[in-house]
Amino acid sequence: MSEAQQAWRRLSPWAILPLWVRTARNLIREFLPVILGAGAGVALAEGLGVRELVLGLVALLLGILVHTLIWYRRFRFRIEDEGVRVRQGILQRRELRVTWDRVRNVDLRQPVYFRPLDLVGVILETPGGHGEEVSVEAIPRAQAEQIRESVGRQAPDSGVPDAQTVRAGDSEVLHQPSTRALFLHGVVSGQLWIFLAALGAIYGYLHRYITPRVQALLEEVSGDIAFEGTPASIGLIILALLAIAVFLVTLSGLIALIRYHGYVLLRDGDRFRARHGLFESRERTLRRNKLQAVTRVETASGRLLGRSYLLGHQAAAEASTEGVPELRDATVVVPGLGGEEAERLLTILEPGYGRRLSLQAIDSRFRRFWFSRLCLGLLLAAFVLVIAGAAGHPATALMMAAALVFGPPLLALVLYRRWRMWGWALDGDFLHIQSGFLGLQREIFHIGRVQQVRVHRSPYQRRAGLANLVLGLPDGARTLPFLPHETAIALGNRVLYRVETSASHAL
Amino acid sequence: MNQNQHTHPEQKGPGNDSPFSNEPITPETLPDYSVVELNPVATAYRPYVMLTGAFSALVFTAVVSFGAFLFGDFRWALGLGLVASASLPAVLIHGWLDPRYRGWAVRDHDLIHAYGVIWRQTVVLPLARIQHVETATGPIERLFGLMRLQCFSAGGASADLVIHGLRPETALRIRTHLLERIRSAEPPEYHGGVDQEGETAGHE
Repeated sequence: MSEAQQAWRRLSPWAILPLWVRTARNLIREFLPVILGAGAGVALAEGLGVRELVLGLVALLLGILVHTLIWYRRFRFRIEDEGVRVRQGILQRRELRVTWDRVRNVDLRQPVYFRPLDLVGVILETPGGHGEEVSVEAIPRAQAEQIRESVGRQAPDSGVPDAQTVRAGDSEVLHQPSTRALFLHGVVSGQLWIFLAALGAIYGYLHRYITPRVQALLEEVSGDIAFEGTPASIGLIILALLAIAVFLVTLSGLIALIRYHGYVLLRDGDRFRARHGLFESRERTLRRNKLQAVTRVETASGRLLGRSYLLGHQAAAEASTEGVPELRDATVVVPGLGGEEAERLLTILEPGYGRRLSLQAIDSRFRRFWFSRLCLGLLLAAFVLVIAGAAGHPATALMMAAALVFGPPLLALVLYRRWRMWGWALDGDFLHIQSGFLGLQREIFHIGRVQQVRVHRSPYQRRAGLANLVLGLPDGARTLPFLPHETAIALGNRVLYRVETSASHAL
Repeated sequence: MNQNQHTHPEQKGPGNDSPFSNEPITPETLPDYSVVELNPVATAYRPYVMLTGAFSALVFTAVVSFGAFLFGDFRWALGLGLVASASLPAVLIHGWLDPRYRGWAVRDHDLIHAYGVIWRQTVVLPLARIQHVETATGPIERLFGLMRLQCFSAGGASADLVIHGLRPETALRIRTHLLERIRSAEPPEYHGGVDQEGETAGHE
């Protein structure tokens, strides 16, 4: 790389817009649910008035803009042969150097307003966490792709061909779901819950302002129909519930269509590239040897429709966790898979995957243990309610009696189902762990990636000769509960042997 | 400690001149971490853990009593304070028993730590996964001549291991040993036995 290329560079002025948007978005994401969820937002709106609120919002956005401008003025980056160097910070100046071989992921992001200029933002993720991430906004695509190729070229043991030989045209398309497959992914995956979580955050506002209007509308529509218990009113309620369900399912599918628009999973030698997004086009590159584990997820509705999706786990950057597993930056989602496609992709992403493997169950005392504890909890709750005088209220007493009569059989059924879904198998050096309730998750990982082996025993487990085996992977722990103690030790020894005879590093 | 010093089948023996061996591995021939005799923690750890436990129990009792006095009256404070003070004998018994179930060992390729009176845990951290080792000691630990060893592995805080109740010279020797092992670039030859250096360093 020439000296001119290695000079300190400033970001393009176009970078100010995404930086501003990102800072504002992060601020809103952090504080809005707190304000609205607590109902303080409504109280604030009532106390101040709309004009004051708008003025406050404008002042806030201007403040963020000033902050962004100062940050932009101080930001410098330099691309070197071995890595990238960044100088940033407003009050405290910080210089960060990340070598190419430390980079776990390269993300190229292109918001919709960058498309006419073909500018992209590059995010380099390292295993150490959010604090070590490098983000360079609004650089020409060619420069971003040069960074991406540098990461692949410098990677030790990655087996990646030289950048000259790997071009976009050489990539093998592994998966390109249709619009229908993506819509179904939205229906069967957690997209609906994301929407409901957002809805929950503004529940206070909705309840206060929307509900009276909806009620008024319903009364207007129903006209002279008396609501109290007539077949027409019951039919109307069922119709309304059906309409809400259809609306939510459609919305869920649409969210997936927007998020995963144009999804394509490519393979470049030892690297995988996933590209998708309607409003913000994202391209994520990850090395195969950095993939810690692969999970095939079949939700309850997914099992009915024969749809599933894959999660590729990498070392988790703690600060980037957003709560919802598939939204974690450290997890790569492969959406919209049918049964055969999922099997095919699993064998590519994790060659140790064996589809016809018979799994071993965990000990059946798992059910007995949890049944006795949960029933005891139920009895204690009933006892506390009796002490508190709840037995005097007929409705509460009836509910308590129903819980005591129907609770234990229901618990037994739930625990039986949960126990049935647990399973594990060690196939060569690959460990398979299956779990679920109505849905099903099957995870597979190479035991050479384990960081730590932990055997945990409660007093009950010691009496029963059982143990929980916890295997620590860089992206989190995996637990095999209620194994016979000897099995847990033997499996732990096997894992340790594999880890300690392996020269490769887990990350 | 010596129970685990058997030779692994893949280890090159004196009569084995071949640079490559590919013997089958059976679970019985694998080194077993569970039979390793663990080193006890320092004798000063018991009074230390009982004292700190008693202090926490007293603070807890005081907070409960004060809270009950603020929101109730003197009788409430006395009653709840008496209930909360039951935590004092509980933590003293727990502190007395704690060192009995606490132990550690350094093997050639990993670090073993067992602890827990009611819920017992055994943690094995392969040396190849340790990124960083630290020793730490607080003022009360210094008073009792104790130090703790903290091992950090890559990928976040989930895989950390902390060994409490070591004498400073032991903690420093283990740290030096682990750092030397981390620095060594080549992967060590595997035989799964107890590290001789670790064993010497580990005696309290």
